Amino acid sequence: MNVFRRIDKIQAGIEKWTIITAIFGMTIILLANVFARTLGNSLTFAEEVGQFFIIIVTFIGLSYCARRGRHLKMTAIVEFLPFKVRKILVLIITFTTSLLLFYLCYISLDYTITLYQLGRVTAALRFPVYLITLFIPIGFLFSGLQYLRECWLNYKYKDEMIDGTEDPDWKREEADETT
Amino acid sequence: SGGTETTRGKNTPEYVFRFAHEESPDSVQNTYAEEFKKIIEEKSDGNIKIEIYPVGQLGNATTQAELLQIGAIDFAIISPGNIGTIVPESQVLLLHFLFSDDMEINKQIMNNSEALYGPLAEKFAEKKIKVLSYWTEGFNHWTTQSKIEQPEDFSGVKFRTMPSPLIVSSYEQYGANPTPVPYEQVYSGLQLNMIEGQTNPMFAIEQMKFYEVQKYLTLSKHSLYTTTTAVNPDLYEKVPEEVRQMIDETINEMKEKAFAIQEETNQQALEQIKKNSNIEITELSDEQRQAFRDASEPVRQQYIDQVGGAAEEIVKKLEEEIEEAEKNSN
Amino acid sequence: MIWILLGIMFLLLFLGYPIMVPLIVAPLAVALLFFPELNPMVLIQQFSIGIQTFVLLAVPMFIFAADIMSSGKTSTRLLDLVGSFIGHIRGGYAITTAAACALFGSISGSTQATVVAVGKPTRERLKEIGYKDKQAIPLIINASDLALMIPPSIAMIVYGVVTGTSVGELFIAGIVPGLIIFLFFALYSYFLATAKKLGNEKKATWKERGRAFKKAILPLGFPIVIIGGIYLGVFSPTEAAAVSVLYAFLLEVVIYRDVKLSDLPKIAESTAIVTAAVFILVAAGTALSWILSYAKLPQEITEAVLGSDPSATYVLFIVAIFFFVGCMFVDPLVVILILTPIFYPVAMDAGVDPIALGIIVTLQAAIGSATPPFGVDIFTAIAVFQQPYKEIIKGIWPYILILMAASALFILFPEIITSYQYFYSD
Ligand code: NA
Ligand code: NA
Repeated sequence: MNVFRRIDKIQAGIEKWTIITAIFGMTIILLANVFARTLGNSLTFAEEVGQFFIIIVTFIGLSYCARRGRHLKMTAIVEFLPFKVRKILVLIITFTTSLLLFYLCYISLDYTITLYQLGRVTAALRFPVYLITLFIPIGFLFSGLQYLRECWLNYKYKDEMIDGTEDPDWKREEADETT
Repeated sequence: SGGTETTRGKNTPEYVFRFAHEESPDSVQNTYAEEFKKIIEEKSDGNIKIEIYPVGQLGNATTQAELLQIGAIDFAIISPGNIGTIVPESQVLLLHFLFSDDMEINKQIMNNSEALYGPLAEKFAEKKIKVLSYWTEGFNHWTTQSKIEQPEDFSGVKFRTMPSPLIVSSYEQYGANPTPVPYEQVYSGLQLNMIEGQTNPMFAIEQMKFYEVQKYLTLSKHSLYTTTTAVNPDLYEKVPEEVRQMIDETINEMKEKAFAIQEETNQQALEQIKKNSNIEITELSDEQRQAFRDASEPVRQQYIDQVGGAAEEIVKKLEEEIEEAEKNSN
Repeated sequence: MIWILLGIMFLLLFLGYPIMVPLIVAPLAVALLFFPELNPMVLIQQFSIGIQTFVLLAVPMFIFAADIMSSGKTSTRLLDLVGSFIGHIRGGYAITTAAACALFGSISGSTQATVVAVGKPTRERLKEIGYKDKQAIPLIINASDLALMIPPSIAMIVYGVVTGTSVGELFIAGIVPGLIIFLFFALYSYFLATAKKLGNEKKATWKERGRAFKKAILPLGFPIVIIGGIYLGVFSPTEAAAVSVLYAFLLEVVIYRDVKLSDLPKIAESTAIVTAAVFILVAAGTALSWILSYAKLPQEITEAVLGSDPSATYVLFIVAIFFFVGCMFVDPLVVILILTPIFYPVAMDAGVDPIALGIIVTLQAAIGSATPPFGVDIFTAIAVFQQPYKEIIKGIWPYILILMAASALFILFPEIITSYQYFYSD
């Protein structure tokens, strides 16, 4: 296994456990607030912590969905096209999608820097907002990289249609290296 | 946007300014915005056009403030209650029993205060928001399920507030259980007893029908729903002198009108509430007000400690100005 | 401008781009082409605001609860219960399927979870008693749509978020229309079974019924806890979603032990994937609707479509058609996100009740998503049942007709929807 693939694998693990933690986190903060309010002491920060988890699930999940080929798409029409045309389409789509995501990474970084300069904080915990929105450029960057990789894999394996970079059944790249 | 200049035809305006606010078409803010539009369009002979974006179409107060900062909109009505997260010093306007219960006095302060137009406006300017004027949409009042006459009556009451620590602290000082709930869920929260009280100006209590699901309305006047008319500073600097002058003149004319608008809107709202329900309406006596003022006193120090910097100067100066104005009126 | 926008969106969509791409490119194109002086970072601001809405937390929570229950045997327990009472009458097992979908829908917010959880076991059983796939699968798909109408419902949450309407009220308002549609489905199942002489279950004894009831009593407590908790003010609709996770956890992990504690991270991962895939669309949809407002387009669009002073009924009909057609092509949540901000203001001006509008919109989302050519539920069914497209859509039309008739009924008599208000005041 080469270095890049090892780093990527570690990253995939981090992404996975981050989004799992966020889902558990939302559940716990919401339930805790129900109990706390009933006991006479509402958690004034429940809302913003919950929203923080949403940002994490969405933007870290953005990259994780790209790995697993789980972003919603409508393929009903292109499925009728010949393999070769579909293959070219997939190369174009994955490449341009990654470009778009890199551009979004750039403008969201710009937005985050602006928030940093303006020094906005959250309402209850007075936590710097830019630290929350920082997950947006990170998510766009990582998912852009995944689409770029998907493009590369589709180019490399000319006889297969590859959806996502980490199809659980799809171990072709690793198999190629070990043999 | 940045005050789009257009060059086509004789009848097309030279400047189109985007003006955003977050309230509905028959609200205080919209009446203000429409009046502002009318005056400045007439004054400029059609050279300036104002496009109004009502009902928070472009976002809530915080979002609008950000849009103003990055120049996506030109003018906005921005309420300090909502942007304490951007300009922490502005939270001075959230302190309880700081302002007078006499609106005439508050009007003088809003229109002329050195504290507000000096150090506080500077803090706004540092965040790329130029405050043109401070005004109010009316006194905030309390609605509750049980009668409120003294701080102890708040004991254990699940009271809806905004999540700002200073507001939360004020109600904690009274012994309440401050519970942040999104504005649009307040009615159903009250109806279902998830929360037991809330605070807003009269027009909002009427518009959101909070009086339908509450037993007591206390005319507490514990704070003012303060707001500002703000402009993007780059735009304000960029336009020619005569346009800037027209903006200033319009703002000045609006200072008088803003108070009349809120007076009328809130008066009508109160009449509607009296007509449509038998909610029990009570007022606080001077003694009762004093008890609440004493209870909330520590929050002022909290404001100074938490915000730091110019906070102490702003609050002390404002206290002095209000005291002075009250003395002169007697 | 609007035609350029739609052109770009549909082209990218049909080429097979991830749906987020057309949804992001459209507002970006409008910003860059028509408002060159506008800083494109406002779109990122809208992305972040769009999903940082407290009520939206309910979406992953309801999915999580449904995922936990789909991993256990809740749906089988509900099926056995209903089956023991009505399985023996004509069309009984089809009616049982519809009822189980409605019941499972009352604990799950999503149609897809219902297709998987109830559809899998019922299809086998329906086939055993003589139903063909072209009769069984359309029933499952459309009955699963009841999950959108019966609270909790993800579509209602998104509508509530976009319009600021009370999600709790929408939930309660959905119950009666949901039951009416269930009734229509039951009647159709009865006539279909009579006409085609389809089989049924043997009649259960009261002892067997009692046993089935005992096994299903805890899952049945679910809707009572959720709706009751909201109604009594113990928790908000958003928090109710987290409470349903707790309930599902207690049921499946602690009491029945059909799900192991160590299964939970895997389930949470699957929830997170679905949430992320949907929320990036919510984010992009918010940016799109923002740029439409900024360009003052909604007024233009609605005036072109509706004229200047339309009646409430007319508005509802037009809205229903637009949402129905939209959901035939793209995910219902996306349609709700894009079309609601356009039509909501004009509907309010015409005097439409916001709750009634929400229920009509939800119903159209449910119908459209099961309607060819591209209704999303059809593709879920293809994936779950491993059946070809044309097999699945064969028997779908009668259901679409029933649902359209129900829509017309609710549009002409919105009082059916708003009737809940008589019970919902203090
Ligand atoms: Na449901
Ligand atoms: Na559906």
